[in-house]
Amino acid sequence: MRIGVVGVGSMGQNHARVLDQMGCLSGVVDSKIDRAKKTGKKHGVPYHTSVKDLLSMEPDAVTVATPANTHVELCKEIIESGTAVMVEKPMAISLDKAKELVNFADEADVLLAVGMIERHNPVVTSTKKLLEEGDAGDVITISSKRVSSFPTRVADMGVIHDLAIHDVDVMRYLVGDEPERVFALGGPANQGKYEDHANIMLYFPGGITGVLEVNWLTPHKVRSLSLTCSKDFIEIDYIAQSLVVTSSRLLEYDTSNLFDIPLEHNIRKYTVNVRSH
Amino acid sequence: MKEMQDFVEAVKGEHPPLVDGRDGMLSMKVVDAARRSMIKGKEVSI
Repeated sequence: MRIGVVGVGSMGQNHARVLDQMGCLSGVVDSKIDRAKKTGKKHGVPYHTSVKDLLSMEPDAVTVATPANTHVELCKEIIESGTAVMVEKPMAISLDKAKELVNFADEADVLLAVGMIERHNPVVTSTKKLLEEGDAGDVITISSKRVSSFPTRVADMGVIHDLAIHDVDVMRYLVGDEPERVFALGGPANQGKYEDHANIMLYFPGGITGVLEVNWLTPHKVRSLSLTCSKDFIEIDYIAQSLVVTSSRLLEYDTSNLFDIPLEHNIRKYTVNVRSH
Repeated sequence: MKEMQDFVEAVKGEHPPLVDGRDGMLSMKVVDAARRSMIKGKEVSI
């Protein structure tokens, strides 16, 4: 399998590194020749400044990790050559452009995947499994927090499209349904063109709610999500890859004497080991 | 690593990608609506 990487900034460097480790990296592209050359030499693969040159080497697939406002046109060029493509999130800068790309790939019958790294995080996979097994009960509400300082890599979108999209994707996946309504508050605290903080509430069918907090204003990085279910409370930390389940299923007890019930009899807490490495 | 493994397996035809274009588009639909809601200051249907 020979896979090329288009765009070797911060995320594209990760693509190149991982594909090299898998023995699949066939070449890299970046509009900045110095960056393309440095990455190409580091991994011992050809480097280019145009997608056309990469495609002339007939890779089996290409990943795209350029600024979001370039995704659609680059992906269309790759798809037009019949080559499978994985594009980093967000796949476009608007829903209309995303639709245009999906339709283009469908018509060309070429594989289009979207890079949503958290979906592959083992804590998400394990949580999905817990929910499917049913022991946790029904999901009532999901809450997420994804905050950190301002990333210099982002210049063409706000924090909703850059960060909240991860938790939107994970919530959709865990609930197994699409939200029907949304309410959001936020804005640019630092007077930028785009919002740098937002609090978002999603309304899913069946009364399930999702509450997301995202910002680029916090000096340290937090990436967490918790689910309140009818039987269990599930907390995940994406960075530590930890998953803690607390169960409040009460044993039979004397309601006239609640103070004598030891807490440990009623709360079962365990950590699921999900580290994948 | 898991994301790239998933993509490679999808290219080989072993299974569909965990997040395909349509799935990515549905998340775009939600974040677009969220930003509209923030700008309008009111709830938005998706």
